Amino acid sequence: MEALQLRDISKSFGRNQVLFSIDFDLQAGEIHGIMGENGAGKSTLMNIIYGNLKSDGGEIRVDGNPVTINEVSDAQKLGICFVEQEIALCQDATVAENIFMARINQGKGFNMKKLAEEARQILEPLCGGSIDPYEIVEKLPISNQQVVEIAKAISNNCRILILDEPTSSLSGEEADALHRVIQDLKKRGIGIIYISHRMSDIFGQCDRVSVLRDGTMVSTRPIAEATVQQLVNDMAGREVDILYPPKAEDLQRTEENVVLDVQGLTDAEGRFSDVNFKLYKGEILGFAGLLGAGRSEIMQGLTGLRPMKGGKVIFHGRDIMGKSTSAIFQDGLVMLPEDRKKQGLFLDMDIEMNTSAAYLQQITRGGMIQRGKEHRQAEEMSKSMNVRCTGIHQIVRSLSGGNQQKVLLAKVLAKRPDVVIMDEPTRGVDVGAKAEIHRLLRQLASEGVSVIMVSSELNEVMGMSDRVVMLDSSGCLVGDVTGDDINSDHIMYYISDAYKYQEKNDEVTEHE
Amino acid sequence: MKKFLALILALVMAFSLIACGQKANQGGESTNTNTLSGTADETYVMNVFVSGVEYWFPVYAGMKDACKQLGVSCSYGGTTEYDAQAQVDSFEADLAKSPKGILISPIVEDAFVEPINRAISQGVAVVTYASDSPDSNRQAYVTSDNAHEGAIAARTICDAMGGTGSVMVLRNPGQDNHNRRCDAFISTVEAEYPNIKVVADVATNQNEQNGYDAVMATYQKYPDLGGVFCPEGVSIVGGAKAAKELGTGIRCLCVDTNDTLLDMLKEGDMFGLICPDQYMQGYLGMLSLFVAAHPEKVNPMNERKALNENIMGISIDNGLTIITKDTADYYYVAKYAQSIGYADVNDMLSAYKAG
Amino acid sequence: MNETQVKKSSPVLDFFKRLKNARETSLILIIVAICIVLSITNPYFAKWANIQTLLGSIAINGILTIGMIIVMISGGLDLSIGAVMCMSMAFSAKAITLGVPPILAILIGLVGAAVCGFVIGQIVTKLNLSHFIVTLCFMGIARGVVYVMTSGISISLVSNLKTMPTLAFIGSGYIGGTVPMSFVIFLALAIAADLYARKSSGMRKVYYTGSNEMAAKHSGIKINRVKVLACVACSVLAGIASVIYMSKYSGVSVSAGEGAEMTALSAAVIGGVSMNGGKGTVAGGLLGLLFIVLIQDAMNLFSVQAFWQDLIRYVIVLLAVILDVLQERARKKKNS
Repeated sequence: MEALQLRDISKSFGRNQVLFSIDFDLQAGEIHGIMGENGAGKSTLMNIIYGNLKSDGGEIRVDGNPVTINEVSDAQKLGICFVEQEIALCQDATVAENIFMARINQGKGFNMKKLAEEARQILEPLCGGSIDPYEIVEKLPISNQQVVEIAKAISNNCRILILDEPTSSLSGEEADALHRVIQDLKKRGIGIIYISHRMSDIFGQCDRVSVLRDGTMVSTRPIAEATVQQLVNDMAGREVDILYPPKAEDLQRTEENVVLDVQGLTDAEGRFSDVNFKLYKGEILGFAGLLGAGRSEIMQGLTGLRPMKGGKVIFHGRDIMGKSTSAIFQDGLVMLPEDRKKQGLFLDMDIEMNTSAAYLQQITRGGMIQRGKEHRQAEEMSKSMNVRCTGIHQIVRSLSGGNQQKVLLAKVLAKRPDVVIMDEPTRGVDVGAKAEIHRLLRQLASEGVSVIMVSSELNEVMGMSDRVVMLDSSGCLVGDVTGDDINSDHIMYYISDAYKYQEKNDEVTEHE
Repeated sequence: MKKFLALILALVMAFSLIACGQKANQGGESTNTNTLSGTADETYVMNVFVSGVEYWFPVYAGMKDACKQLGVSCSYGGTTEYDAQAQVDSFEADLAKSPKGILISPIVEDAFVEPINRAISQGVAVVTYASDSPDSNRQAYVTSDNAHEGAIAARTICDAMGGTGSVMVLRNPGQDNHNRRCDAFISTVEAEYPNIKVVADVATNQNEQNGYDAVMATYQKYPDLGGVFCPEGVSIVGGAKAAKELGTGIRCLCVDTNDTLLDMLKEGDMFGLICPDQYMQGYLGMLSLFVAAHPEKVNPMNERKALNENIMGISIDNGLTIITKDTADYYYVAKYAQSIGYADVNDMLSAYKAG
Repeated sequence: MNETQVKKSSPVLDFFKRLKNARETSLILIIVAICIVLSITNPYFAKWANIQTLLGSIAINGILTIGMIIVMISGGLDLSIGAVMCMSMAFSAKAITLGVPPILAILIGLVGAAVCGFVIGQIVTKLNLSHFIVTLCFMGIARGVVYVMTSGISISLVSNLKTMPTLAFIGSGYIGGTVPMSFVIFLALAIAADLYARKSSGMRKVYYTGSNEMAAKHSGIKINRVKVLACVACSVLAGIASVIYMSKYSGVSVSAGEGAEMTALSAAVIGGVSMNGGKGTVAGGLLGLLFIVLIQDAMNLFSVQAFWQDLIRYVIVLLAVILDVLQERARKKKNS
């Protein structure tokens, strides 16, 4: 049965039309994936279904009956629930309070014990009782916070659930747990709209997949009939090369080609210890490890952003431990930070000012910024990064995720480095931009820049890296692999700590 | 290391609290009814707000002299802030030390009704001075009359202007006694000087800059501006500065004294200062407080003693002076301190704090 | 995806576009409008004497506001500027009365202010406390130092200034008999500060730090040093303001500068300096101050009765801020 039908839905903001006559169907008990690049209109469409925005025309039907949705409360009455991409829970309140916030807000008494009991009943089928209703949300891992968001959404007799990129901040294991929850909801007859950039999510979970591009619904296919290449082409509106660029062919991993030599690096807070590795000229070195293994922390340690207890970082033959971040950047070891919004960009500033932030010295003379030079640098960099914008004075906040990421690259690469550390270079970036960034990284490497790449997408690490260093969950380096050894079975065996149990088993066998 | 530091900090704080507390005084009883004197173990406290302000120093000097002559002890206290709650708290703290009497200048009237009444019911005499709490049972009130100050100011300025021209007021709307002075000034001008107009009444809020701007702007509009009255001593400094720059002989007068004002007066930049007789305020305040604390010493012709009521209920005017160029030298606090036997103001202050 | 490239824009067109969007432009228009209305309705407004008063009265608060703007851009605020000004002034004045040469005495005051700013900055950065609470405490601490130093007695420099014509000229002199010296000092500082804020890499770092501290850190900017220096700059400017104050009013009253922080703060906010840091210009903040000063002047010229003045002043300030927010919102909508 059709749980939800959209017919001829359009929406304009001022003169700017963002949705063009959208038709869309969702069955009860179906997971319907929606893909599309940032800015394609996914969020606008979802907000119309959820009553945050009002469509300019068209019809919404629930269970075949035409309905009017003017406000969020109308949508909620119809059993429509929305879990947004960013977690929006009250971090200082308990799980139960968060789940029933709407009800508490109506002021119908407040019985914590009763709330907790009801929360338990909702959470039980979702996660088998692993979340305590009395727990403060802040203390939960992100994946469980995501589950609480879903519990909050479905607490109100939910029949249609919208999930906006629920896995974007989750590690592989966490995403698996979340998917089990989603499959369970599906069995209960709930229709689910699943927005994601991740192909593995779409192919692993969805029954059908629709692609939205520039405000138009360009295709809807049963998942069995869809291919990755088709979806990517639909999203981009052209043929996109989804393959990773070819790897380096003639890398000389000799002593004289070592550009960075890390010896015994140990974190002051104990997140990792005794990290040793070498980086060679023109190489892309991937760091594989599960979320929380300490990958980003190692990178921050290398660049002086995090206090270290000991170790050496030999760069250009000199130990740079204890040097300031700006001095390290000046020397030619730079980092693209993991969290583009929090650590990377000045969102309220324009592209130009963002581009100059990391290397003010090279555009400064006598303490004054040379505006002409700054301007030229910004023009050049945003051109070479292919940033889509109205001009270099556009405010970065108003750019799409992929273009923001390109601005961040422009900032980090405004001076040609010798070594660049890329921490999650393509997180939250659409397919087109992702391929561009990958090409760019490979190009940098081929020009002799060494790249360290950290990503929680194992596919990306494997696809891009000439060599992969593996970290187990306690932050220990457990070796590196090259060539054909870069495959997921091999890498997962190490980074998931499976090797430890294997060794134990071996020991037991030996003793016997 | 951090824990150690925290411990040291805590210890320092604790010790300073103890050190502050050691100054507590004990009260005593007097029995001698024949002479106007008490005993050394009875203590009288003066409670003020913004205790650092120099206005209080001569007041306390008067109180101290009276205490010496009466053979009793006194101490100086109150709050350093301009905050009603803080002063009530300091009053309660004084009360806890069971003094014989408290001489208080309450920052606001109503907040002190209950504390003062409680003090009196506990047998502690309370007399107000400078500012009052009229709805309380306080036994006497000593002040220079604010209305009188305003009226005198009006007459001084207007007479000097020859009865014609314009005058203005720099007001500080937040303080009762200041408003009373301004209102009296305005009504006196209006009632007694038909040819003089109050052309501006500006909120300068005790700020030099505002005083300067107000006088400058008003002069643009009223070039016959001949006088400026200010109930306090801060914004008038700016006003006098403007008057000096304009050079048209605008007469600036305020109710306050301090070194800057006196220097300006001597320079001719200020026309006059009105000064309530602070010493007499403290002296008369203490005398009435002593009598209030010792009803056995007096025999008034009324029913109150018999009914065990407050025998006094009097208001005393301590008088005021208009300071001029020639008399300014008598009003420097430092010179005054020396004249009554202290090396300087700090010496006097530390003597006060020692009690 | 369309392969659109960066559009090349002509610098002239670009300049006008930026001018149109600049916050200062709308504020200038409002101020010009006020001036026109005032000069029509009030015959005294446009007279040179009144303008002279305006110039003279903007200097002290103007210098304080520059400091406030810098700290606010760095992502903080400073509630202690009024008290620090008073303290710096007390140091200098005390030194002068003790016979120290004026230049040295002023230096002592400035050093006192600088130390104050440095300590504030260190506490804010090292202990990660908010500017609000630290500077609130320093408001009391600096004022307390003045009380202890002066025993609450104002310091008079009336006789000293007679023998120090240069010092007296700073606060009370007129260049060519027309332009107040204090205004000239302020104007020089304002222009220097505005240029510095727009052009220097030092001030750019302050913008980056205020806009996004973490991103600034990841760009290799020493954010703690930037924040401390912003605090020091603010306090030193309060010290400079104190020299004019002391000279103009021939002494130090213990209440000098009370409430100055609020004037500076509201001026900065009206002028588009963000309370969240990273946004705003010196020129904008000072135009905000000019706006406030104009309102005060208008009330003086119209002889508005004392009890009405605060009410009128702050209603107008609130309206200005609301108008600005609405305008900003309209602009954003149009641009998106």
